[in-house]
Amino acid sequence: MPVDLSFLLPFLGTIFGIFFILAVSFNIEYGYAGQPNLGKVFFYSVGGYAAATLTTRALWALAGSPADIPFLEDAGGVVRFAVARANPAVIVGLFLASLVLAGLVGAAFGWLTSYPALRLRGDFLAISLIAVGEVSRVFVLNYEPIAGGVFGLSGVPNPFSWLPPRVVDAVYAVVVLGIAFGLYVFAIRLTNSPFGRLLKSLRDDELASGVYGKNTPKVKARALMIGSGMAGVAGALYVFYVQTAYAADFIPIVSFTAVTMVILGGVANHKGTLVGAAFMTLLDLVTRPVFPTLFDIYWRPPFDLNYVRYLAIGVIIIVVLMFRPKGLLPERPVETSAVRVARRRVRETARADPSGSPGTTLK
Amino acid sequence: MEEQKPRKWSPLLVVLIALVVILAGALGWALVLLTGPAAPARVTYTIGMAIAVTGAAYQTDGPIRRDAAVLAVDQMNAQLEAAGSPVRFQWTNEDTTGTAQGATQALQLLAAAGAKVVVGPLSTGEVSAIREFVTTNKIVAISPSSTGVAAAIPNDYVFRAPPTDIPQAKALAQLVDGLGYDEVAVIARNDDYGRGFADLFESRIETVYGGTVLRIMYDTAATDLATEVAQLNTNVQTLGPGANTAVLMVGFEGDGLEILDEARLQPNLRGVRWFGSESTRRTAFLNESAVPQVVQFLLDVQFTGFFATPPVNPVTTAFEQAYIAKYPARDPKKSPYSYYSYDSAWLAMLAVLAAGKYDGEAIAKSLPGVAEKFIGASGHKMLDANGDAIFADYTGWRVVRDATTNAPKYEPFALWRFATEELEFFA
Amino acid sequence: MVVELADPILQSILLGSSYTLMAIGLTLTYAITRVPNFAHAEFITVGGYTAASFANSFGGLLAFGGGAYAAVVTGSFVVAFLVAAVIALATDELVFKPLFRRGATPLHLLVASIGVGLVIRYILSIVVASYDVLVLRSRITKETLFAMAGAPFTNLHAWAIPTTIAIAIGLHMLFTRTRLGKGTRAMASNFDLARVAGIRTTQVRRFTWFLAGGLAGLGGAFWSVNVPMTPETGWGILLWLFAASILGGFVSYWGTIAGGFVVGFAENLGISVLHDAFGVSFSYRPMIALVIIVLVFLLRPRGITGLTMPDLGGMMRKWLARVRAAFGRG
Repeated sequence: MPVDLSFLLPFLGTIFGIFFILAVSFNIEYGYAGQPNLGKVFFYSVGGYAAATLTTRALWALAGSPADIPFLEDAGGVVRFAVARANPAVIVGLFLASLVLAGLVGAAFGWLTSYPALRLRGDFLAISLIAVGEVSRVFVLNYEPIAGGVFGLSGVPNPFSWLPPRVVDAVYAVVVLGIAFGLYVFAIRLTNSPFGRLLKSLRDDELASGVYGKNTPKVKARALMIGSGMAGVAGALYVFYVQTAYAADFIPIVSFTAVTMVILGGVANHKGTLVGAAFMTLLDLVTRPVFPTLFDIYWRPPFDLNYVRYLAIGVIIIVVLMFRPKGLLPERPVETSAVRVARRRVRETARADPSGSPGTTLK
Repeated sequence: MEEQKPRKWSPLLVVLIALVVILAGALGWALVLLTGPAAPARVTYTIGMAIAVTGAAYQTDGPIRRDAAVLAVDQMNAQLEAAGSPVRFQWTNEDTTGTAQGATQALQLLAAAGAKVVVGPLSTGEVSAIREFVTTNKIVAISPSSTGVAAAIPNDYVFRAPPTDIPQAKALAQLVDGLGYDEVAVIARNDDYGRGFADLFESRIETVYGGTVLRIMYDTAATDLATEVAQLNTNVQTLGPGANTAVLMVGFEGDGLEILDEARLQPNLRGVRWFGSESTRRTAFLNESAVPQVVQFLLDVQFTGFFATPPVNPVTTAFEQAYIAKYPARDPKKSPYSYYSYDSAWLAMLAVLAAGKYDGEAIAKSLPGVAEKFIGASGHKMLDANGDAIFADYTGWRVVRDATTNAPKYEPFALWRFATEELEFFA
Repeated sequence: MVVELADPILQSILLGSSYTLMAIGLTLTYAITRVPNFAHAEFITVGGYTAASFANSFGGLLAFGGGAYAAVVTGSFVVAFLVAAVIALATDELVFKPLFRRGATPLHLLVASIGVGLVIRYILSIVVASYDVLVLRSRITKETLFAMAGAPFTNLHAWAIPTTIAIAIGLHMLFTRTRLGKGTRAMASNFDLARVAGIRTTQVRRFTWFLAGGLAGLGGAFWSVNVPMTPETGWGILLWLFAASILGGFVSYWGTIAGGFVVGFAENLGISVLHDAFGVSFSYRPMIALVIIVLVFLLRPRGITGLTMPDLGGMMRKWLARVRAAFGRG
């Protein structure tokens, strides 16, 4: 059976893009600012709920809010999809608005989190944030108005559902990758700057930074806001991908996946995060039972391949950590524009005087 | 001119080279296969499966439902081989873990592998999540266990082997009232299945029969259920532990077993009649060597419920025997919806054969006709306008000891006719 | 109303004891070896399956009652303790210690522990699936010994509560009276200084992991009497154990014990009271304990360790003053 790349590539691209954004946001918060935000899925979820609520309510209003069709049930979803397909500009507009809203909502919650983050030590913060995530999940599961409770809020149309089949998935994957790349560039710019150095100083020695007059609470708050805003955007992208906002999807393993991507790839190194995210995404694909069938290999072992899959993932994580405890790519120093200029000067000087200059070598 | 790359880049290079080699190898192999010797006359169709096998909700039920579907594929292949046909079926199962993300990814990957018909997903939430994807991409999905009313939609590519919860709730309410109980204490799992069923049952009892319902919903992630069962005990006391009070349990295996295990310790709960939804008719509860006290409890409370298959159905018996033969020491009654997943797989394969080609649209068009003439292990499978099973005469069962072997069993004792909504008790 | 709450209160005590037993190990491995161990959940699951399998293999003997019953029960608990302890020790020797030696940070160790957890859980899944016991109910069952205000006081209560008390006291003696115990405390407070002072850190480390795993296994064994075991059982409890541990600031032993009971009471008595008083549905149950954790941390970032009566009095006074000021202005 030939592989249908029109499904496979968007599958890889979309999930990679979404998790890459989560991983980069964790890298900024932990790798640079030293705040282990293990509750990442919470900010991811609020972005998703915001996006889903905005889009579904707007489409519903546009459809005339039909009273005889239940909003939450699949019949309501059918109505929303019909409206979306008929009005491409509307759904794309709602998509963009949702991204902005999700980012803002995520950032707002991130700012709220900075208050306890000020007072809590790293590991306490980590566990408390996991707890906050679970509280939120149970609450949303029970309180229907937010995301349909146990039934979930389905019928969140993909912004490109008006395109022909397969094209939808491909275009959406490209858009997700584009946004992910944009946020990646933003993250690099953010951290290769005096602010990035400030974050690292906060991470490495909070007391000393304070002594040097840096407003550590405000810096922490900014880092958490930025990271959580990014997570919110990822949540919106996610909800448009699965076309549902379902509280049961937002479980701690999402946070742990993002953390693993950063740790395996290399902390405080955005290229490392890229490698880590690519690695985990490919690992996920390669261990799935469907994967060998893509190459017409049908294997029927006496045990459940799905169990072996998780076993293999666990083993590989341990092996990578053993052989590369600092991550696949190590941390690099902050490279602000000033540093780049200085380095170029040194290179030029070295080229002009190849006999060996006594100038300092900047690593 | 670029600065000389520091040595620290080599790990990245190694990883990249490894990935490139793997991808190149895979692509090369695919090319070889495509341009290799002429394909044999054998025609192989894929039956995709999106059945969750891990995750708290389906870790026990999922594997059994998948195994039932695999049994169907094996049986079909044996028949085709005996007939000398060049057609064969193969299957691949992707674990969805019961989440919307898992379901979406499973379907996308199965689509990438070229599957045009899929058995699964299991839950209504997952079905809602993948509906648009399968409909737009013309992939037929046959869910063996989604029963939520909310997902009944016409003209889509989702078909469901069980009827929705509506007839079962009607039948159960009618039975409960018919046997003289109008005060019911309900304990149900708080997910789309438990909520959906409990809502329907409660509204039937209260509006049609004028009874009272006190409901407890328990979180599926609760570490244990003793406190909920204690509250159930209190509710029964409130309703009056007399002859008019009954208990309804809506749960799966792990939680169901726990509820029963705790309930047997509570004074009031043994003195009332217990009813269960279709998902509670399980061998695990009647395993006398493992849980004798639970068995005794079920006998004391005359545990009763419905199951959607005619009471004497030779296909059901044949399925059970074939399942036990293929998977020794196991029993399809371990997971009630395994009967439906067996039927779903059969429907999928028959629809492909009837369509004559492996094309989603053709399969979707041929499926209703095939289903109309099909009687499976779970009974008639005629589909309604929404693509859900329409025809369900429900058999009422209750737990008794077999007269000859003395083993506990689920004995059919009543029939609820869908067409007339009449309840008929056997002699 | 009090009579109606007898059941939740008894249940809170039982669950509190179980959580305490399971959480102590988590605190120990974190405090002494700085590993936030998410695989701790699997030690519990393995302990539960081991105990249940042992009991079910000798199921016939249980029916004889008296000495045979006691022997099987004790045997299953002991075997569960040992198996989980050995597995815990093995994971430390094979994974955590080598990583620690290479300079892994706690977050690295956390990720590694997730990997270890996956490995243990899915090896267990493959094994139990092949024996068709994905859901395993132990033949040792909870039986009512007598009724306390209408609520069943079971044999599990009779085992778990004294065991927890005995272990609490026993460990306290261990930490304060023995060399090994004092060594663990020294390592917890300052690893390098402990080595310099001549404490055999490797031996202490091995002891810590053995004990932590064993206690988790024992907790799992009790749990297997309480509920049917599934491969995901431990993972489902883990967050509650972290909650219990965190109330003790992750380093306090008595804090963890208090934390276990706080979580147990919040989960059972808490939801029952909320249900009776405000009609809150039981489906909110997981939230109660976690909300308490979050609140505790907002009010007291270092956990409840070292909280003394004067401290509580001072907090009350400060809070009252704030309230008075707010009303005074109004």
